[in-house]
Amino acid sequence: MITAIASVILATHQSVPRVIERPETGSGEVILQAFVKAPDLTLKEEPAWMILGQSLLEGTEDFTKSELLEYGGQSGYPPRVQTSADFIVIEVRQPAEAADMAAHLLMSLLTNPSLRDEGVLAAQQRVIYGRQSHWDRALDPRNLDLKSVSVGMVRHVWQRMFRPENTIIVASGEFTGGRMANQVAAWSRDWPQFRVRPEGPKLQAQLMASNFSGVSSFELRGDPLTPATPFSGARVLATIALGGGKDCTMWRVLRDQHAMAYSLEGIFWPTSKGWVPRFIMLRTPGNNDLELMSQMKSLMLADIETWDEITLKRAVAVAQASLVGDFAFNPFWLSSAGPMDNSMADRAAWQGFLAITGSDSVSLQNWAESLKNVSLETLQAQAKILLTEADSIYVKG
Amino acid sequence: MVIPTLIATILTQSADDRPRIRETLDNGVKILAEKNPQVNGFAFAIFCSDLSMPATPETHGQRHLVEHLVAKGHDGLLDRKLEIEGASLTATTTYDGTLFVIRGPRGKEGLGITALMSLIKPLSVKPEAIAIETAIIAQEAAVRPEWAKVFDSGWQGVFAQAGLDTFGNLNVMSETSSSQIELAHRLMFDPQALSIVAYGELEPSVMISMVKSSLEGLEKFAKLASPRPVARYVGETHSRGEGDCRLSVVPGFGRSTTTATIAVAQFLANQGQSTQVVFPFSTWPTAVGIWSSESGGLDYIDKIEPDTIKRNIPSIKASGAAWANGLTADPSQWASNQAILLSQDPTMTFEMIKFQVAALTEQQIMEAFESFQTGKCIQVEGR
Repeated sequence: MITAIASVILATHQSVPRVIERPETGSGEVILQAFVKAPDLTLKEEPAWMILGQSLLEGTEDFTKSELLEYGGQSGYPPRVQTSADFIVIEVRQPAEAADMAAHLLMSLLTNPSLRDEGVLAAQQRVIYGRQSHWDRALDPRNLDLKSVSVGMVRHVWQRMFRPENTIIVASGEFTGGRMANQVAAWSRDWPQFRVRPEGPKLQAQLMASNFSGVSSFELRGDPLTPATPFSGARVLATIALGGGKDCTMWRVLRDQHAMAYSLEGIFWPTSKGWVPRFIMLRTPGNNDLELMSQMKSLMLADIETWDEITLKRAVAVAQASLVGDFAFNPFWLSSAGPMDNSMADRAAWQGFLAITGSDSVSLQNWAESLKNVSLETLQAQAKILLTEADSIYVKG
Repeated sequence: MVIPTLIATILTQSADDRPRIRETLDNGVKILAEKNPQVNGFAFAIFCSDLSMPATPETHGQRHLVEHLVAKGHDGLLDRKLEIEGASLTATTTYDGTLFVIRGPRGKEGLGITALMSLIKPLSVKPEAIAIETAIIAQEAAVRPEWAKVFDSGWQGVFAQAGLDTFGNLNVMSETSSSQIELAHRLMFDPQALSIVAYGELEPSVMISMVKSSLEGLEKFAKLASPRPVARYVGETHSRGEGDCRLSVVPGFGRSTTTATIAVAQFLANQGQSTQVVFPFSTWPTAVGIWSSESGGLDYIDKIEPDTIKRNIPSIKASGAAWANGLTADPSQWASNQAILLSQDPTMTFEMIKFQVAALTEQQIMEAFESFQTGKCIQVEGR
């Protein structure tokens, strides 16, 4: 571990993150995913967290950057790090015979990243000047001061947040039960523990007034939900009826009837508090954008009155196809990288994501099945509440 | 008498049990059905090669417009009919044609085939529908990624007259009449231009018969053009987007040169900042692009020493393997890429590409690296 960090170590003790094992025989590979949450980042720490995510693959004290790619790429899938506003997912895949190497790679990324100046600065440049699609900008409209982040602040957020108690590891694939948990426990012995206080005011970043991209984003944003939230089933179906798939309210009304936008969708955005229903529409900026923002909401609200049993049936079918099948416009996101699919990696990620929200006792299959019990009246009522209470977020393009 | 009957029966049974069946109908429709019990449900793809309707400046954008209009279904309810059963439809206009993919759960294959076949029925649209769809496509233009705009400029530089972009001209679209749309649809869905793939937890022989019975009567209409020639035109390119792009001209998917170039491009892109690899999936002459959002953001490629490439051959192969795996990562991708292969080169398989990646030689990798150097590649500078 680099000297600068070693000097502030106050105590080292054995502590092991929670490990969820999901052996699947015949898969031929092992996938390890670490979910690290950071629920109370300060205004100063928020941008450093985004840079930290990019810095991890710059190398560890055990593996150089190219070794990470080379070893990690043995399965054809190099390690991935996906950074969300309040959690990071690190994924390592290896052929089944290299399961122990998978554990070593993952634990090295978690507990022993280099975080050297040149690597962090390169990562910072990537985050500041990195390619962002219009959709990426809409998904993260925070006004983060990325340029002022110091290398020290990136190390600080790693010390403060990368701790066993903030981490959940999901192991899936071809291994015998207990093996990956033992590996993680073994590699956790040297996990340095820091006593670090938050730095900066306990405020959250403001949203951008303009993203200067030539495309404005219009968003209606609801409250986070998990399977444990009251009316969660109805809220999920309401989000899908309003914005999921191509026969939803947004597509039928805003796009096909009013030609307001090409790109528009309702998604479940992952946070450590649960999924946030977000209805996002992108279009060229105009003089009446604020009026359009309110029109978006009123048109969607009015459409709820026209819903019938077919609307409900479609929402259930789309939800089930998204959760346990394969649906092209899957609204469920498990990380910032994109919607979930029906792969072994994403079935495991489902459990990891729900674990960081504290609601992983619900199985994918059971939750999907329970959605059939929602009535049309409840669906409409919850959809109205969802939209009425939603925050309106507009970022000028 | 008994023996020939028995042989015929065995042959019929074995034909029915084949996990992969490929057929070409008399009218030119190519069909491939493959059973994979590991796949959850099915993926169907139909690819309309643009050889039946190559874009000209006068029709540039009509293919894109038809893609939008036909995907709604004749009664505007196609998405509802599919989604209510947990199925979905996506549509894409590519450099080589138009692709429609239907994904659905087990037991709904009949619905999927019916939906797929409904796309082929003659299209009738009102001018108002064309106007509203053109307005939606104008919004699509606004959100089009910069890398796509810049790559388009390079593509036109490489292929000149045959290099019109996939998006189209909004002026052409806004002036397109109902009868022009109906004609464009008929040309696009000419049987000689169609390739259809059914993949997943299904019976190939049943799928083939369903498609055959629907399409056997479809009559040839268009005169097919030839695939685009390689026109290595290293001239001025006019970028319509932000950032820089370097294009390496390659003979097409399935050739080792192309595989090596893609693997090297992935590696080179990983060395830069905010870069992206662009490769239009095609067995015809095509190009591999590396794009950077920054002006001058690809200059680092000229500074990379050949020894660095040699040292990193395992990483380059790993990058190539990741790309090759991505081609078949999910059933929709499998079906759509397979439909393009079926249309352009039915002998080509994904497995061949994976073997090619593993067998890449140092010489092939070094040549691919050089093809991205200044003077060897097509360079598009940001606006």
